[in-house]
Formats: sequence, C-alpha cells, structure tokens
Amino acid sequence: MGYSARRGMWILALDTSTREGSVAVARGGDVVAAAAGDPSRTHGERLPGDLLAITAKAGVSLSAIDRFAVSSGPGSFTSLRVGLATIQALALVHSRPVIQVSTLEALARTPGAGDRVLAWMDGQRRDVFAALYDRGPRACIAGPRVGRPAEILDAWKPQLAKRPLDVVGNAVTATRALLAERLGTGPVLVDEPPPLAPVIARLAFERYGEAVAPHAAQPLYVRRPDAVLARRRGL
Amino acid sequence: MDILAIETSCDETAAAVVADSGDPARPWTVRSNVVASQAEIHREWGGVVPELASRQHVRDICGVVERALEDAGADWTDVDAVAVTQGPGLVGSLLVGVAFAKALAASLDLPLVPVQHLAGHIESLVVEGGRMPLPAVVLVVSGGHTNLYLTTAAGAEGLSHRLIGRTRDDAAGEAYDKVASLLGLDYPGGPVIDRIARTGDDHFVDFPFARMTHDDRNAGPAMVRPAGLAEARRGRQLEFSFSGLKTAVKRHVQRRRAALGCDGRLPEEEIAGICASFQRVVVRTLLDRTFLAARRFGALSVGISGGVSANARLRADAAARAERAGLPLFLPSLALATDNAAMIGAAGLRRLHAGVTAPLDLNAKASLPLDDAPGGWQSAP
Repeated sequence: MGYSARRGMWILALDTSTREGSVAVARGGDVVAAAAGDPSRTHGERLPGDLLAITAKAGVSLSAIDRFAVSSGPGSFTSLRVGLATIQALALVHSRPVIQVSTLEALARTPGAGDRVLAWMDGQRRDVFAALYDRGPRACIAGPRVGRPAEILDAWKPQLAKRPLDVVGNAVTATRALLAERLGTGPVLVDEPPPLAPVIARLAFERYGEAVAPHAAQPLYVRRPDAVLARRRGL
Repeated sequence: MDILAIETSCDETAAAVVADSGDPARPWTVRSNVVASQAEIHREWGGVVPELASRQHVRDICGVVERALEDAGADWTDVDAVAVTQGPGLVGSLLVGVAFAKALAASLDLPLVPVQHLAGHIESLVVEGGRMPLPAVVLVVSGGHTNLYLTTAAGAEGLSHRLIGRTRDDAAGEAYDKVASLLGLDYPGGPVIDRIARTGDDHFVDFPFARMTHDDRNAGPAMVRPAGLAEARRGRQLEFSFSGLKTAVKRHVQRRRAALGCDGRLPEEEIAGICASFQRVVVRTLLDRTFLAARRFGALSVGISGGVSANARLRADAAARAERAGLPLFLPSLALATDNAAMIGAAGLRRLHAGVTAPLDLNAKASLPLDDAPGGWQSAP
C-alpha cells in the first residue's frame, strides 16, 4: 500500500501493560483521540468499554478500523492477555490484522534529548523489564530482558556509556539511587512517561505492512512462567 | 436463535454454536462443539499449571472460535448472542475467554450471557438426554469439583440449582490424579486408573470410607450452620472427603514398596488391585451420597456430569442403582462430560430466555457460587 493510501487509514491502539493503560485512535499517523485508563478498575472490567468510548469520541465505528494495534508486552501477564484477547476478537470479527508493538519500544519513544534510551519498567518482583534503544526507527541495542536492576546495568555497562542517555519508565522511582551510582548524574530520568497508546498507534502506522492475523498475535512475556523457572532451579 | 459460546475456565479452550431446537422435550441443538485440549502440555507437570494454561488459551482461542463457526456452517451474521463461562475456574484462564467474548458481543452488538461453569455441566445432561424430570439430584464431579445439587424448576423454562453437598477437601478427580501420580501412572489419572482397574480385584486392599462425624471446620464464615444436631448430621451425610482415602493409598504403597524392597513401581497386578480398590471406594462414596440425596429430596431423576462422569465403573454402578431406585439416570457422552462450550451455550440460551444478560464490564470470577436458593447449602429439609 502506498503512503498516501495509508494516510487515510484508521488505527485503534490499546495498551494494557500498566495498571492504568491507555487507548488511542489515529488516522494515518495523526492521533485524533486518546485517553488514559482509570487505575482503580481492572482492564478486565474496562474492556472493551474504553475502546468503544474512544472510537465514539473519534467519531469512527469499530467496523471502520483498518488496523488493531496493541502493546505486546512486557507487563503484567494477565493484563497483557486481557488486552490481546480483546484485540484478537475485534480483529477476528472485522477481518482485520493486528499490529503488535513492544511496550519497551513504545516507552523508548517518549520525547527526550538523549541519543540513547533505556526503557526501564517495573517487573513487580524487585526486578525490571529493560531494553536499550538508539533514537530512530528499529534501533534496539540490547534486550528485552528481565532481571535485577544492578545486574542489567552491569551487563550493559559499555552500551550505557554512550551519552546523552535517557532512562524512561516506572522502574525509575525505585531505582533512582542505583541509577545515579552506576550511570552518574548525566542521564535524564523520566519516571512517569505519557500514556503509551498514542505512541503505539504511531508506531503501528510506521509498521503498517507488518500486521499479522489475530491468531498469530501473542504477548511478549520476556519472563518465563514460574513453574518453568522453578524447575530450572531444580526445585 | 443461535448462541456462540466460549469456555476457558481451566485447561480446555472451547467454543460451540448451540441453537434452540423448538422441541421443549429436547430444547437444544448443538451445531458445533470444538475443544482444544491442553492435556499434553500439562501432562509433564502432573497437573494444570495456571500460567501455562492462560498462555495456551491466547494461542488457541481465535482458531477454536473460527472453527466452531465453520463447523456450524455459520458466519458472524448468524450469531444472535454470545455466552461465556464467567467462573468458577482459574482466573487467568477465565479472563481470556471473558475478554474475548465481551469484545465479540460489543463488535457484533449482541447480548452477552454469563454462565456459571457448573450450570453448564448440569445443562450438558439436558443437551443429550432431553428435559430432566424435576426435582432432580445432580452430582457434578470433576478434577475441580464434587458438588451435589438439587435442581428444581424456576419459571416456565428456568432451572434453579441448590447446593446440598460438596467435598470438604479434594475433588474426586483430583484424588484420581494424586493416586495416579503416587502409583507412577500418567496424568490425567481418571482415564488411566479406570482402564487399569478393570483388570484388578476391587477388594485387593480394604481402603477406608470417609465418615463425616464432625462439622466442616474449614467451611468458612459464610456457611449457614444448621440449627439442630439431627439437622447437622443430615447435612454432613451429603458431604464428601477424599484426602483421607488418598493418604491411605499413599501409606499402603509406601508399606508395600518397603516390604518388596522396591523403590519404583509395584508389580502390575498389585497396581491394578490398588486402582480397583481405590475406585470402588470413590464410586460407592459418590453414589451413596447421590442416591441418599435423591431419596431424601424426592427426586424424580438423577444426573451425574463433569469429567469423572466418564468413568466406566461409575457409569455402570450408577445405572444399576438408578434401576433399583426406579429413577431415570442422566449421563453425558464423553464429549460433553469433560469441559466443553456446547453445555455453556445451552445454559446460556436458557439464561437468555429468562432475560439474563450482562453489561460489558462483566468480570471473570475465580469463585462463583451456583447456589441461587436462599438458606445455604447445609440446610437440608
């Protein structure tokens, strides 16, 4: 499809990787409506209601959506699946493909001055989901991986030496002291990045041709199931 | 009216299309019934691993739903309502089905009908056997549940289910899995033990029958305590317990292994004898309670559903007892005994006709009681 044809295409984007999550509608690469979710209610309760509300606000019907975009993860396993199952059903009914975007990559698109961005998400178990990107399309340098914050910072020490560096994500708050110790005071720390759904919608527009059938869309878990981890430890 | 039903409460991803038949004696027509079983995935773990189950549901659900429509010769425009299992079950698994079903209902602008999983198992009896003479006593017995219900008519076509007995510890199917595991047999244990037991002496070991001499200390604060001693005793008579039996099998196996000086499997005929003896106790326990309840509540029919209802000995013994009692017996075929969506579709249609639909903020519930009658499960008449 040519670029001009893509300009008219509707994209519905959903992010459930964090507790509040977000939704957005874009026409071409332009976000026409977006909203953050209410963290006091679960994704299970809010979906598909939040998606119906945002499409209504954008003045577009679900049947007119050309591509369904969703954050693939990492994030809470259950929330990722609730989001993906919702998007799968919408895509299946309307015979449209799905575009998945890594949560870490979306985080790394948070505006900033750094040439390199460390996406730094709370893994909820005193660990982090992390990936390292250069600004610009498709420039993943390291990750995604899950691990103790100090281990990851040590493992990526050479790549993290490049400046200017931004560190973005909800793991920043809990690891501020560690980040200062390992990276110095140079990097810009962003602990409350803006909602990801608008970023996901724009990334989906860039990757319009990479859509897959809803059957093939699967979460990017990064962390293995506990049962598998326990067996590997020989328990 | 055609309903598309989705069931993901445990380790089967299932979808079905069920229609009204127009015949009140056999009200439901199953147009398709598709199940993607995860048994192969969980076998190496000796039981269902919730996170692995949830991951597999997201892999299978699109294909299973598409296949259910295809097998029914239907497309989206033929669907009039969407039914989904709301609970009880593994919440991570339930959520995949509920999220998917809600999005379907929203996109197609169709009513959404939440179904309690065990109401589905009871309805599976009507799907194949036709309308049950009411009141009926129904035993729902599987790897997750061992519940006795008194099913009565509610309105013209509705059913009301009241919990009159349940297990205090392991479900019967769970006991099969655990005994199979300690005998070194495959998971799931039910079909394996059933097969091996056929060649064994069912009095090979004298395993104990659980007797309920005390109130359930773990019943929880919400449970209604019966008023008098006699009433409490009557309530206890309909309760199950299988963990003591499992421990008895375990002790027996340990003693035999020590005596034989073997650290692996026992001789085959001995394993067959243990399986047959264990199964005799389970089956008699299940049927004693079920038929006692049928007598006490004046039931006009008896039903047994859920995965364990596929057990050959249970089916044969139940048939003999039902004949003695002069009661019609309802049993599902193997396809409808284990988890499936056809039963959810049938129960969904029944609820839809009764005017029950759910808003789009419906949430999955890991524990969702079926009992909708006042008085609590132990207040036997």
